[in-house]
Amino acid sequence: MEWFATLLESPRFYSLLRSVILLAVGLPLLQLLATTGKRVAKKHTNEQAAMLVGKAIFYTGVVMLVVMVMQNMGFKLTAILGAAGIAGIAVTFASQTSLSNIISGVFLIWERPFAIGDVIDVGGTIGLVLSIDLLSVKMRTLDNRYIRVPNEMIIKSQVITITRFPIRRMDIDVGVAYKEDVGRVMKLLGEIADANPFALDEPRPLILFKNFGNSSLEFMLGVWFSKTDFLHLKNSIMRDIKERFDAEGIEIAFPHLSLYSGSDTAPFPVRVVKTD
Amino acid sequence: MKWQPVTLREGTVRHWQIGPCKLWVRRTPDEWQTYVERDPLSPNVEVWSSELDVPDEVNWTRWAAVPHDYTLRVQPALPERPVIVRPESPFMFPPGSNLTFFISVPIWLNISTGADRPQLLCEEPTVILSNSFFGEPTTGQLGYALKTTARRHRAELRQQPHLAACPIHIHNPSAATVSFERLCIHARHLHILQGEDRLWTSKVNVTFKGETGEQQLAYPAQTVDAAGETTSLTPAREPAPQGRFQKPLAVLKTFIA
Repeated sequence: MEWFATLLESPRFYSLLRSVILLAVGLPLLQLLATTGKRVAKKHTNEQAAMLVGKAIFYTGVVMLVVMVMQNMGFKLTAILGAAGIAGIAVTFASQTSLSNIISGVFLIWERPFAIGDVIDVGGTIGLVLSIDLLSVKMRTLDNRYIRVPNEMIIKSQVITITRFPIRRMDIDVGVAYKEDVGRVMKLLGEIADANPFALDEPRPLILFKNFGNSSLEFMLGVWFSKTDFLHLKNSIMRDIKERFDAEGIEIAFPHLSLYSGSDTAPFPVRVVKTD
Repeated sequence: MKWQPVTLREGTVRHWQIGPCKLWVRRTPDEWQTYVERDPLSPNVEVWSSELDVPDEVNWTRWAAVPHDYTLRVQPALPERPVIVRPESPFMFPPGSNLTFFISVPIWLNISTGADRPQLLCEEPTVILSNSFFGEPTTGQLGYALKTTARRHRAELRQQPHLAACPIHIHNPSAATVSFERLCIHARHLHILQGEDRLWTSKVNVTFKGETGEQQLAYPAQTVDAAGETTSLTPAREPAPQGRFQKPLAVLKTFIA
């Protein structure tokens, strides 16, 4: 029991006890504060911003708690902070990329160019956003590959949020033979769009006579559709165009090459060979 | 016996045809099985719970059944999405207009089981309507496209079993002439009623509030007197918000001073 009496008389014991109590009460309290802050932030902002608020509360609290514990244990903070400053400079130099990603992540969360569940195109890579974290954005490509894109890259490059708006337009190029009636082709394209249940009747389909092409008269059919119907529309309207044009006798053009035998455009000599 | 629950014992098949939509329902010992096909060439046919043979090569949709539950309901329903109505020819409402016209809305078939507490199996549209969109491309809402001849009299309406007549009452107390281009009707606020010879929906009241294009759409629970004697069949999916001004404009946005 003597050792116990000695322990009780030691001032170090009490500072240690206070530190343990500080940590035992402080950490769960911080966790609670962070969760509450996250929940409140989620009501007013999005999930990523809420996550950021939660983490900010927790880690700020942890730093304060550690400082309090160290003070309580009798450490000289001035010396520690001085050392931490030097270490901080070294760490900063070493982790420039990570810091850049973190700051980019904060901007991403603040700017909200896309959200979890959106389909985005980053430098030609198209995928579904799985998470937006402080360092990177995780995506699942359409052929089911997992891609991690650093936030810095997203901030620096052009990002297309394909599913941002409820509707999109699909532009389909159609080439028909030069002998076809332009007005009739345009009318048929309009009827094809009207008859397709996945094509929106409003906004009206865009039908353009684009160009006199090398081998065809070039048209564009721009059909609006609900963002969830991309595949349904793509498959059905291409089939509709082919079937309708076939039924109406409209020739869908393919590349042609006309050969002339000379400046007088004399005909090619043709030899007819009798076969059995 | 239209729209009445029927009892299907194990191993039996029943057939319905409501206009172009043909429905077969089969009860096996453990399952309900449904099959739907559409025949646009027979919009006037009406078959109620007959024992017609099942066509060859049917791709049944299977539903796990509650044991000893043999009650099946086929009820009319209206689309969950808004119906965006466009007149076939321009229709103008001069100042002071106070009129009613009718549109025909294709119904959905709500198929449910259970004697006491109906359990929804599925909903099948009698006609596949094209998609449409109402409002700005960035913020508008998706709906179904419906062209209408906007008939003014009941006798002029098409008499087909899969169509419910929806009365639209227009009131234009403003000083501007309004051109009816498109109208966005939230069909989920409409009730379905059985009339003497056809289905009706509760009416839609549209009141214009001047040149800003603002208008008030109200969805009262009753239909118009022209419907004659009616009985309630299907309640609205969702009650309409009260006293709220909507601006489903673009719709009727063109004003002629």
